[in-house]
Amino acid sequence: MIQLKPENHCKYYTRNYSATVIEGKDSILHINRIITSDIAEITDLEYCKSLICDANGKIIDAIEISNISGQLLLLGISANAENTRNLIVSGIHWNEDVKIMNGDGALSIISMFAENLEEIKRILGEKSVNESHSMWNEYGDYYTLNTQLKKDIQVNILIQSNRVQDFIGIIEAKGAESCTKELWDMHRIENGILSDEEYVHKFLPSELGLEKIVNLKKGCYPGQEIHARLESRGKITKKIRRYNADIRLESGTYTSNSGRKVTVTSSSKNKGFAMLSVKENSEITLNDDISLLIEEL
Amino acid sequence: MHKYTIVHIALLGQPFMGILGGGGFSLPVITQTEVVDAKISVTDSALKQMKNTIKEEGDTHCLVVSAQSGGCSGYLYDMKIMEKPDSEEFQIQDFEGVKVYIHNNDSALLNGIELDFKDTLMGGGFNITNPNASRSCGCGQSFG
Repeated sequence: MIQLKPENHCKYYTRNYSATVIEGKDSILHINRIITSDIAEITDLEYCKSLICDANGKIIDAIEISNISGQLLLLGISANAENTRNLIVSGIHWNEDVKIMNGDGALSIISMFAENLEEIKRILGEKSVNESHSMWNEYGDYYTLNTQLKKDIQVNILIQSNRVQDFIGIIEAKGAESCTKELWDMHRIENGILSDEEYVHKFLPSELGLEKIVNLKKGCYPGQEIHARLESRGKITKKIRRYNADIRLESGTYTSNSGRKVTVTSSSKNKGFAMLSVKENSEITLNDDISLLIEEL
Repeated sequence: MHKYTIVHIALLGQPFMGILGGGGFSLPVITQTEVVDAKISVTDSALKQMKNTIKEEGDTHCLVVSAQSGGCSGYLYDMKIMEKPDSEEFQIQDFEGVKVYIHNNDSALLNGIELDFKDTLMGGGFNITNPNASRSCGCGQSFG
């Protein structure tokens, strides 16, 4: 768990997203044809994660989908924003009612995290956060989502970007402290939260341990043939895992003493995520004598 | 693979009343604008089948060929016999009296396709060969 200063138990970080808003009565139908999970029954204020994959089954965007007042909000990798929106726009059937809007810069996500939920509620308000991990809670002029993590408690705030500064002023006055990218990455790594750094490598969902958001029963979507084949008779050869090293490793590709490739995707201090062969043991040594302890996410 | 031109239209003065309950800001709407002069061809067997299928409906109906996202390879073909759409956004080709409609939005994806018909018990039906597709799935309904 991240060591927080006693007088400052709650941290916040403004995350970088691409935001796309989709409206029209056929929005869900249209998006459901593209993504790996099934959102046909998504209800108002419901939140879920999903993937957009290419025909080879590799991830081209990881998206968080929310249904808010009849509109779909898609939060994706910021670097892929244009490609993803092109993909979504190009496949609208001529007689479907779907309107795509660019929400970049208009909507922001602030992630607040602490050791316990009470500390976040003390700052935001007692009724600011609900118990559900899949439903947004409308509170004042923003929405909150209570996110289940392995170690810390995290609450995501969805807010109009033009209100972010006011919001930050209020939570800082109550003791929340801005955190650096380094600290945010440590929080991610310790809690197993994947981010753009992992998704941009075009890995397969199963290599990132994302099988839960791949629904093989919903029917065809781009990449479905590959995912089904992997699930039924394939075996992945590499998988993302967390490492603990002697020193800080920069992102990049290394070689283990066994001659296998080790791709470090994220790092913070001496910890990080690495994509490596499933044959590697829990202790490996890189060619330049750096020792890594490996654990599952 | 086609490139799409994305136009950002700022709807000035139209408050965005959805997510977060409005607040007076608007979002740019993204539309696909690449339109080409779509030319398609049909084989004799496809034309024969089209005539048989459409003759019961009379002159009021046409065949609409379109594409939509989805399928294993990225896009799905869709073919419908329906009343002639009252829209100027369609391109129309006439094959011995059978009108085939293609929407402008699908023109780049479907330009150059050949419609064929196979009269077999297994795997029979209309089949589309698409020169724009870099891949297609086994069932023939999806392309990318």
